[in-house]
Amino acid sequence: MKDIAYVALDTALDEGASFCEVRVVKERHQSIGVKNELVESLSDDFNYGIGIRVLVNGSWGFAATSFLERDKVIETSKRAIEIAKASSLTKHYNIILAPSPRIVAEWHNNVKIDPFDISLNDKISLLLDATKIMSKVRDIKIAQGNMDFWKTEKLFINSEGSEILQEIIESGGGIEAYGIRDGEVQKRSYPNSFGGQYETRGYELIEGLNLLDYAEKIAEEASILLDAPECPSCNTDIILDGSQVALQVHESVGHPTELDRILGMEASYAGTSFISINDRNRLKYGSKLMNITADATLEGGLGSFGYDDEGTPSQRVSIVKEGILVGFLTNRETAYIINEQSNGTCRADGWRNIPIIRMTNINLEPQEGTLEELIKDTKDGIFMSTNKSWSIDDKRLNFQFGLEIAWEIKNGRLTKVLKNPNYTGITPEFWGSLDAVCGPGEWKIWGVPNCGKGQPGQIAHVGHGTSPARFRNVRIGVR
Amino acid sequence: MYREILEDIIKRSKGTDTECLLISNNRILTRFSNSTIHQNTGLEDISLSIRVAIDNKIGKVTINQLEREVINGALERALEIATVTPPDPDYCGLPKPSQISYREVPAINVTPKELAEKVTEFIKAAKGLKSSGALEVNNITLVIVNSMGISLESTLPYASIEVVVQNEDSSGYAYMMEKDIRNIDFELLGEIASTKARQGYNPIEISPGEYTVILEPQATGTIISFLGMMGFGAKQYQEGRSFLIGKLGEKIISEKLSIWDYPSHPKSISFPFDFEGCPRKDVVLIENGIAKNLVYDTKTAKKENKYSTGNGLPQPNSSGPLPFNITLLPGEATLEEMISSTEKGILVTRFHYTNIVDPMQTIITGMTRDGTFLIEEGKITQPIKNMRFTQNILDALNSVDMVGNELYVAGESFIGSTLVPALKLNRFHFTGVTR
Repeated sequence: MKDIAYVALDTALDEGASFCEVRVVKERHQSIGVKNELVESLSDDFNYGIGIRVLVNGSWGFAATSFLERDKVIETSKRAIEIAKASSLTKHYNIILAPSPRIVAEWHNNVKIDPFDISLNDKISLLLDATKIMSKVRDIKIAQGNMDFWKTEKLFINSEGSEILQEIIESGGGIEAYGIRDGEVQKRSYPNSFGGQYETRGYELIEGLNLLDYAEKIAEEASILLDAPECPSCNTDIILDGSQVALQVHESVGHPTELDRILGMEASYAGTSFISINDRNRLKYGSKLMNITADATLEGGLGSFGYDDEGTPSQRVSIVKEGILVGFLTNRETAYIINEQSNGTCRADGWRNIPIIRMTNINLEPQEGTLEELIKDTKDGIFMSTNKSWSIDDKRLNFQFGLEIAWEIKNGRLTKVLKNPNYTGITPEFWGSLDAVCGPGEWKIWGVPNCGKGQPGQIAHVGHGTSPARFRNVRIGVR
Repeated sequence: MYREILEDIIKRSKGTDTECLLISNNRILTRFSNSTIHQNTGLEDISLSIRVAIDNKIGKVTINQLEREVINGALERALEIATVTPPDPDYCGLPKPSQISYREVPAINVTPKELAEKVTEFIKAAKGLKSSGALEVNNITLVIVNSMGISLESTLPYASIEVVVQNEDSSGYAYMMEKDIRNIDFELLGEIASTKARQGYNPIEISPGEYTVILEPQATGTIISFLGMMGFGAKQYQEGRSFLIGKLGEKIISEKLSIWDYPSHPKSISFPFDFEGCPRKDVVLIENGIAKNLVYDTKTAKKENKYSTGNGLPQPNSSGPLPFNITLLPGEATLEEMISSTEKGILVTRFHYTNIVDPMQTIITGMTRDGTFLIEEGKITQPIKNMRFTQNILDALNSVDMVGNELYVAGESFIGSTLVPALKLNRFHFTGVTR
């Protein structure tokens, strides 16, 4: 790894780069999907390549290749230079990077059981056992489960003398039951939708999920949903479970506080942000209970790492404090614009892509109490669980989320099940209606393995530490 | 060259069946924002998947290095996986060769400097407004070889540009995809997007509710793509999770509309074969409003004793076959005729962040973006703030008044493209408004 990295770096500097960083990434991804007691998909993917980013004439160029022979690496490095020179044809200003310390380090996450040491047979058997349990429940026509494991080795070097080797192991898995009757489909997932729970942990994550203990419960809920009444259309108080609060944070706090979006760098694709640079320490984002941190140092979070892909150490920073916007997610390029140092959120999807600002673990800090106490404290309302769909405008203001299941709350107790719940709102007003956040006992870092951004599209693994929370007078049941 | 490597793997495999799928891409993507190139990337990549079956037990490994020892390791690992995987009783073997004739399109050879110059043309045409976008050139090669005798290779070149021009409180959009980059008129795109951005200045807020809408091709493309995804794949239908259950052969939308999966259309982005090596076929999905056919891969076709329509994704996969080149056939109306015939309505340039609310009811939600305008008494009168829609697609397409006379590519990837005209719908349900 190291040899070809330095060949790329030396070539770029010889060819006139004022700055160069090189990432050599070797990744293995094992993915298993079972459906109705059969293995539906199983793959083991290995990929290896080099990405070279250079500054020439104050403009960026990037080239990547999976062909790692010395000559090809030199050619790719020269291609990055050629691309940077082309970029400079339109430049209005020279890109300057905020200073970053020179770091020589190795880092790996703590893993109890290497998931690649567990036999395929054991993994498949666990998923098949779970689908067997779900399939026995009335109306369940599709029972499925999945596991995903990644092992990523990445070497980062730059022309400022940093050399960082990291190994990150990630694991994830979950199960889903589909109740189907008379042309209606209702789904329940455990522990979360869209593949379950994901963390920077080993196979101990899968063992801790206890999939078999929850298989029957979610299957029964999917069946019950087929007979349940529709969630009403009205304004009411809602309690969201932790996994949905995670997605709410992701879409309405994480993305709009990315400084590249705020500066218009994502305008043509994902959009911009309702926030401006001048809003820091002024904008009222939400109620006093809203405390948001970006924390890549949390053990086990899917957005945790040792160093970002610019070599900046992982950090914990405040984004919203007692409802006031106090920070942005930054990289070296955008941090310079606001006269700061990067807070270490710049990451690339593999070797193929340039590093851009990505969420780390963006968290709603816990307050106090349990979910049970919160429900008891709610006279009339709806408790909603597990995301089913999401949509938000290009400035991250108007959102609408659909969930798998809801329960009516009457006089502090969960009563009937409701199907097809959804809610909508405008970001600062919605967060302004936050009036309760459960405590540390309910707080968990939910993994989001499919955060999309950039052109070409990049997928990031990010996390959100959240607990169930209550929002007052929200519009629900949009039809 | 690639075919020889893959054929050698097939010869050496000890599996009952073996398939090699190779995808290579040489891409430059020049991205700009605030009227300057800010991200500019080149990629040279390859991926080789080896899928082996030992009777009906399947193993698959994907690699991106073509050294012999890496390939040997992958082949061994695929066989090892096949050994431990439980049997798949639905496995029906690999497809046999079919007659496929196709003509290769020349690769696009362009330098980063030439792309930057084209971006400059666009930025100039935006006349001082902030320009953002991405200009992308791809030359993608797909090679598939299997132990039944399929040995195919094809290269698909295409260039696309997506642009947003921002005014103070508004924005405009333009998009174009061509197999030959010389056919893209960058100046024209700059004019379209900047005119929209200027017209959109100082938008007013209008109340949500039911409106007549005119969807420009990008907006039509979103609606038609989601319809295609939610029901026309045979696997979805066989599993009972397609909205078409019980509706095949019935009228489901306006008789003014016919929707095909149309790989042979000259504007479609399509390889001549799918990811199993089966020929891509034109399939009539909806004819004059009546649901006609589904699309199939080898496995789902076998279940119904049919032939693959050439809609197989890399196997095995959980989504099943999908229409890759969904196309809404054109009508006779011009966009001007749609506007002039509208007493009160909304013109939508495109939708943003659309997602499925209820797939069986074909309900989706999303936002308008980059140019939403009020139409009164046959004229565009005012720009309006972006609105959220929550809409049953079949209901909307049952209320079609006019169908545009020109087809546009409304979205593309190497898997396929969406080809649609503008549409005028009498009923479209807006459920919210943003600032």
